[in-house]
Amino acid sequence: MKLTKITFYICVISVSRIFCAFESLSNSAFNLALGNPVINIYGDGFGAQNDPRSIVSNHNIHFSGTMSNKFNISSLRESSWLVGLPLREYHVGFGVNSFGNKLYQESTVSFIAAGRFREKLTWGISANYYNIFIKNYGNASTAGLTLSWGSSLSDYFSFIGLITNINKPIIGLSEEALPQIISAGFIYQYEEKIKAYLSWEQDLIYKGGVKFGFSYTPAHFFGVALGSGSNPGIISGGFFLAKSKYKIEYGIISYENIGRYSHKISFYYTIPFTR
Amino acid sequence: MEGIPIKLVFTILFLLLGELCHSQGLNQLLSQINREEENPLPDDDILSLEYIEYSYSGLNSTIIYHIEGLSFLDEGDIALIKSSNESQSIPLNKLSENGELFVEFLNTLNQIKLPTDIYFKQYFTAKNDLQVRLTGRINRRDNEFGFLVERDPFEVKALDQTSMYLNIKTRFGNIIFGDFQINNGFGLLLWRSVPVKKGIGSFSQLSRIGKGLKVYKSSHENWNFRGVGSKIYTRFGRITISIGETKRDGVIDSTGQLKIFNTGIHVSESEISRKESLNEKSSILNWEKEVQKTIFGSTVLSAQWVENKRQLNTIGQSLYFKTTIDVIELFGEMAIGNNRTHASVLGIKSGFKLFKYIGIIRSIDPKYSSLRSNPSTEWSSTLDGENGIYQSILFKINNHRFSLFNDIFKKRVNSDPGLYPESGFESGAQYEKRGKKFTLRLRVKNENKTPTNTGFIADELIKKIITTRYQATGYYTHSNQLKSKLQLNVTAANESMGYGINYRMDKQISHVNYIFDWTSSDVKSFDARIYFWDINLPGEMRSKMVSYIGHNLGIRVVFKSEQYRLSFRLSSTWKNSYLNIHPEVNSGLLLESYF
Repeated sequence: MKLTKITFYICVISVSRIFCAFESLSNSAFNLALGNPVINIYGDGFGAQNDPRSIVSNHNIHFSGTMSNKFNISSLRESSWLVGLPLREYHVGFGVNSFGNKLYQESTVSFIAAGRFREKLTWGISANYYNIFIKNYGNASTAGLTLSWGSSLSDYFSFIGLITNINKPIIGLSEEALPQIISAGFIYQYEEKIKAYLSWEQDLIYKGGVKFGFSYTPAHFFGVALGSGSNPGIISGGFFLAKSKYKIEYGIISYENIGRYSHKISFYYTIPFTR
Repeated sequence: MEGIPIKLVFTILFLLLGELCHSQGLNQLLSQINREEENPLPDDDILSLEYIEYSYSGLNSTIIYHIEGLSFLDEGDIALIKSSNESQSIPLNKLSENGELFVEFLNTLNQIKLPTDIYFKQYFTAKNDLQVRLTGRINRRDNEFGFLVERDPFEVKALDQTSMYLNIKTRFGNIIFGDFQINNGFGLLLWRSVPVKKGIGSFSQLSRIGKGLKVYKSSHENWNFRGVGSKIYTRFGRITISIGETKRDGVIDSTGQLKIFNTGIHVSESEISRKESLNEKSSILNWEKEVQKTIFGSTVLSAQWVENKRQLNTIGQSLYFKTTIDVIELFGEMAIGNNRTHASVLGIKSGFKLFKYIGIIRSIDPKYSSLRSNPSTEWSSTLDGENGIYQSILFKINNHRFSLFNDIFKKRVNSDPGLYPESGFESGAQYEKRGKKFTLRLRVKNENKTPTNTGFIADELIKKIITTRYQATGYYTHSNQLKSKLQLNVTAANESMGYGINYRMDKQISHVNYIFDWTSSDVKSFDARIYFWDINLPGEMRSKMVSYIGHNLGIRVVFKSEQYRLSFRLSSTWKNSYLNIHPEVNSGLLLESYF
């Protein structure tokens, strides 16, 4: 029964989107709660794979992990792991991500480098190695490069841009193209309490859509987030709980056009010594 | 943002702007420049103007270098600017129309500049799909590095175009690695991607000689040379030498003809398959010498194109000159292009105090082309060749300026044997009165072309395309913070008429500049189409062609700080009278950062 459901949902995605490999964003749960943008709004969590410049917002060695069941299907497991290390004005990271089940498995290994330029521009690049495993069919792999950058406009506003898979990687005998996403957006941050963003996001072979979200952190140990997006329509929400060097996040997202939702849990740990 | 909400947005903004209201700087220059809407400025000019706007710190050698490259200025304007220590001391009444506007623009620039030697520009626009362009530039002393990446709407590659250059100043001149262009003579062999268009406002440009080797900053995807180029100044003159290997979109057909596709769009299967399908190897040698008031130059080039197993080799040669005898200037170029075809232009220009005259004759062989030829011609394709003569006169009496032009042209052969070659003429007149507060520009232009003429049928039975365009434009300066423009257009094409009206308001409040734009039109056929300047982001110069009954509303907001400039534009077009249909929405975002 579960296999039938999985096949059904993969087919639903496949019908509306001809290509579906590596389309699941390896976001943190709180970023998912903000509307699941490809831009990593808070900078922690595994979003650095898609938005590598975001890793510069971490000042210590950090470790994060994310787990979820896509579309609330228990066997359709998604997990991401990342370790980041600041090195003077540069940052490096290493991450792995997996998505799928026993029959179909997508894995990504990422090397991330990022830095700041004159305190006004942040930049990041991730080199990703993609692998697909399909039972009884074998493996296929390819490599892609992702770029992102951020410009600080004022104390409150910043502009973020990113392009994933700029080298237009293809995978397998069918030469399936991996998603190339272009996104641009503004982030507003008022002190540590309020954060909001508005972004345009487009996978090049589909129509683009707008995403926006808002988070409120009344105390350093607790914060909530809401988000939404168009084309396809989504609504999301979530919260985080933090204590000392630990943070646990929860996010839920509802997909308008398939009537399903996904949960995601992330945790974040900062190794308690500075660079 | 469609339907009622967008109307609401525009209504609120209109009411708000009515209560607000200086537009200075580049925006003002571009909105008033004496140029037909079908003929925007080339990329090179806009990029140089942007550089001047942000780096102007007096008339130093770098600024003069960029000014010399501006195609819309007269040689006389440039000589005056070069001979002045500061822009305020340049006598406006000795300048051409565009020269006057340009110096007024210089006078508005703040000369206290931050040391902004790094510039990063992010450009996103959307009509039916997303267009992305990222450009960066680093200037260190006299050396510069730059890059450009771009994706056009519907293209399947995120970075469909990539371009890069490194320009190093040497003791003898400069050397460029990466993408460069060479403009020599009058465009018969080597020119920029946009030819000089004939018409009102072209007077100054047609006699301008190419400025030689330059870095390639344009987003045009098929006009650069990729390789190494160097300019060397010796006592025998200026020598330019280059070698390049450039991938271009093109084919060599079965008859051995070379066909280049210049659109830069790679969306359909055929467009993708021919992307960079042609390998072009080129080597160019140019010598140019200035003796007193005379410039002589000569160019020789060789090129090889390879596509699959087909190969084409060619050489090109040209001789050009420009000389001034008292108030008379003579100039011309003779060139040999591909397949030993010939082309030549010869011109005379006089610069009396009250009036100026220019006359240019051109002769282009059928199938004439060369490596980057782009002469000023009537037909963009030179397959049938053409002969033509262009003449223009300018009068200036106090604040009143009159200009007249006429161009007569005829194809050398007709593609259909047995028919007489196509021919026609274009003529136009313009009156301009410039005042402190109010500037009026009246323009009429007439085109008359005979598409085909058998020579056996009586003339009255032959359908000629006769188009007359009338345009009246008023620019009013309400205050330093508010300026407006009203333009009326009428086009009569054979039996159909087109009417259009455009109002633009430009308001500055502190660091924010707002532009509100409204256009309404009643055009019943494509032949009677009308052109207006579109609402543009800084660095854009697009016009909109209107061939429908309907309305267009647009808004542009530009916020400028010392470290960046953020611009946004939004326009909607309703192709009916009643605004009761969903509009076509066009938007754009530009972020320019300075480091």
